[in-house]
Amino acid sequence: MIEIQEAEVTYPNGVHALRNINLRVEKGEFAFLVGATGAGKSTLLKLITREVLPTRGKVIVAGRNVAEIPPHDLPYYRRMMGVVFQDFGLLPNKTVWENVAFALRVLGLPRKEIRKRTANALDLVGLLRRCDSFPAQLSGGEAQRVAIARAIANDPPLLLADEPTGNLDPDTSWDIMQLLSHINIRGTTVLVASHDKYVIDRMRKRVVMLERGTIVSDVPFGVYAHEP
Amino acid sequence: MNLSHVEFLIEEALVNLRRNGLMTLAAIGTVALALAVFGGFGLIVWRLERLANSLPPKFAIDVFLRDNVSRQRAQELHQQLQAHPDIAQVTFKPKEQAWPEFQKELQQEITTALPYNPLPDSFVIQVKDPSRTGVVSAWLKSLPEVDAVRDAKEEVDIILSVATVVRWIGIGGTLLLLIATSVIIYNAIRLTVFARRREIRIMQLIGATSGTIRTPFVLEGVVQGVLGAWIACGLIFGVSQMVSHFVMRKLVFIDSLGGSPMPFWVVFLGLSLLGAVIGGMVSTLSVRKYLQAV
Repeated sequence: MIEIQEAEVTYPNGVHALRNINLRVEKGEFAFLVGATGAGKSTLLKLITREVLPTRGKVIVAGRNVAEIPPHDLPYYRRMMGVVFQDFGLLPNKTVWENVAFALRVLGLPRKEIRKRTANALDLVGLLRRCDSFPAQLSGGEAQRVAIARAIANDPPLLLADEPTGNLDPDTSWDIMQLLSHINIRGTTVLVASHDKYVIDRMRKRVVMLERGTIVSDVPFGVYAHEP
Repeated sequence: MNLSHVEFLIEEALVNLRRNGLMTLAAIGTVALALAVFGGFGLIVWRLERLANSLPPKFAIDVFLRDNVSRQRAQELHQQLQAHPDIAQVTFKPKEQAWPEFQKELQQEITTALPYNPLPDSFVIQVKDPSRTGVVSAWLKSLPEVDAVRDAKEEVDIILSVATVVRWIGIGGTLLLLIATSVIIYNAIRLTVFARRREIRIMQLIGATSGTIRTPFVLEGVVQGVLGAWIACGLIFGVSQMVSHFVMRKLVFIDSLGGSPMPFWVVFLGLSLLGAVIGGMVSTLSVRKYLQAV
């Protein structure tokens, strides 16, 4: 699904965000990217969403070299992945329902199909009853569930989550991880950037550890060995 | 792009306008004030120019014939003058008609003391282009039947040069104000886009095309521009009503001299169009910056 070969990212200010990254994530896999703040987790995810281009090396997602995707093709490329942010990234002026439906409306799907998929996604995250609420009226856990519902509404083969539990208490974090795990079992490849030792250790999934822009360990069924 | 997508984009714009109420109101208010100043200035300049242009034709050339010119010859001359390309209108004023008018104008005692009518036959001529007054006067003077020519060349020249100055100040001022208005509206709308820049990133990551992201913003800009323009029209109309009520009553001659004011529908359509164009353009520019970011 994802193949990163000797990738490097140097920002215009000279900061080396990533160095010599080699990573392969298979279709249907669940993997954690772990590491302290500034280790390069978010940059690695941005390489996949193509918000950042590699200064050197190659990033191949679903068989496409992302550096070669022309700008007008980017929206279509991004429709094959759902993205979840630490701060939920909900559109503040839209209700829960509208936030999820929006991701489908931009695809130009028929209304009936949008209704069906929105309801399914909200049902999956258990928030159908809050569909008329605005993001500001939700708890952190609920907001993140809505964000996940939006990310998966389109049923993308890949789900990227950047610190999805960063703003949540341990119990809610665990619920969110269970939800991501559930989505993974349905066949979606899931890549989660996190430094939440509590959930990572309990999940027993693949753990790719980053330190100062390089991968220092990559363990299947691993734990987060270092304190951030 | 199918119909339901167009519907979606319009719905997006309207919902955003409503839910970003305060930002929308601030932008509309700024657009309204900027366009009211621009429109008000434009109207004043337009009126002044019309006034300046309406004055010169009121200054006619009086052509006095020699005493020995017969009525028959005057008739022929009338036709000759009418055929002249620079002359718009010729009126023959026989001495019998001129005398009572003259008597009325002056004090009766002086004129009644005179035993005969001293005035000659004359023509009253209006030229097509006021700036040609001097040329036409010179030609008239050269005619053997003509005794004297009285024109208001100097007055006409002054008015014409004032009109030219007014026109250039008007064009320059209007252009400067248009630029200032655009910059003010740009800032107002840019703020509304800036406040929602994160939405743009989210939409991009969801896979919305640039067109899908941009269109609602542009429509919002157009609506803000047009609504601002309508308020500006209301302001201009209100102020001009007040001005004509309080000032024009004391300066009645301005209305009797100048042409009619610009029709309201022209102001309404013009400002609405301008508001829409500026609103749409500055929204496009504002969004473009954030669209390029990812």
